[in-house]
Amino acid sequence: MTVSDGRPHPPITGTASAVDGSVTVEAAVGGGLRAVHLTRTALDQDGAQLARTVLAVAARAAALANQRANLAFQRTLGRSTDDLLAGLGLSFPADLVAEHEDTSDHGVMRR
Amino acid sequence: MTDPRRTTNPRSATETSSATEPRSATESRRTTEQLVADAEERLRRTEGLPARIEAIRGTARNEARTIRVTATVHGALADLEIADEALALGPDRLGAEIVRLAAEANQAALAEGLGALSPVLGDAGTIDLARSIGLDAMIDPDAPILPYTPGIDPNADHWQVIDTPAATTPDDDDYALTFDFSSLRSDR
Repeated sequence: MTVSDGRPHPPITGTASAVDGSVTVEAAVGGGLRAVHLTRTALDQDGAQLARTVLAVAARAAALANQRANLAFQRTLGRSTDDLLAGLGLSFPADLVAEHEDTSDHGVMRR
Repeated sequence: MTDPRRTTNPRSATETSSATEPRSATESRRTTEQLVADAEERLRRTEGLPARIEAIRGTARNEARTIRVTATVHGALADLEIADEALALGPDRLGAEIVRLAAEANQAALAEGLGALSPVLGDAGTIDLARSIGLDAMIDPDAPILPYTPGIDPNADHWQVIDTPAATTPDDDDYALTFDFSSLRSDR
């Protein structure tokens, strides 16, 4: 996706999944939920546990979307836009977007 | 019901400030003190506004009251409660219900955010923002839009209090070309 191709761009989104893949959330910039995919195994836990998992996965999906938006703004403006994003209330905490190479098999997956 | 002020003073407050009174001509020009007060009022209204907007939460529940979603103005999930009974919906419907309620909670947060911003934006700015964030349904088409809010002048771009004068006719142009402007000079 480039800025100058003249075609409408697909929305910037972030997707994250739970450790076991039972919960996958796709979020837009800002964190608005675009999709929540649950597997059968997601319903093996009780409601409160599932809610906590969805919240955690959604927070990572939102942080990823915000980080991608930040990168897009950076590329367009040619300067750091961290402050701009922070001013808009769009955060991407390092612990939510950091790469976990060592836990990629069993940590939260991101794509 | 009789207004006691009316009986003692026939000139009501509206009469004294009527447009024909010479006093209103000076009132329409704001003094330096008033302009400073206006600026201070604007600062007061915008103080901590981003933090206030950030703190806003909207909430939505499903009809069975088994799912409760809380969202920020950006739509991010702030809280989620799922009762065990809601698991009976099955994975697909439960996931879709969370998405639907999150959007509803986001709209509730946006509506509150709009309310928090409206004293700063003024009427016209509030309506523009309502449209841009998808809250068109909240706009009352018959609501009066005040062109000016004391101390806040965000509607300046939208002023249309006086109709733009109609384009001058060719006759007027001829008159302007032949008119001797020196006849207006007071020193002759």
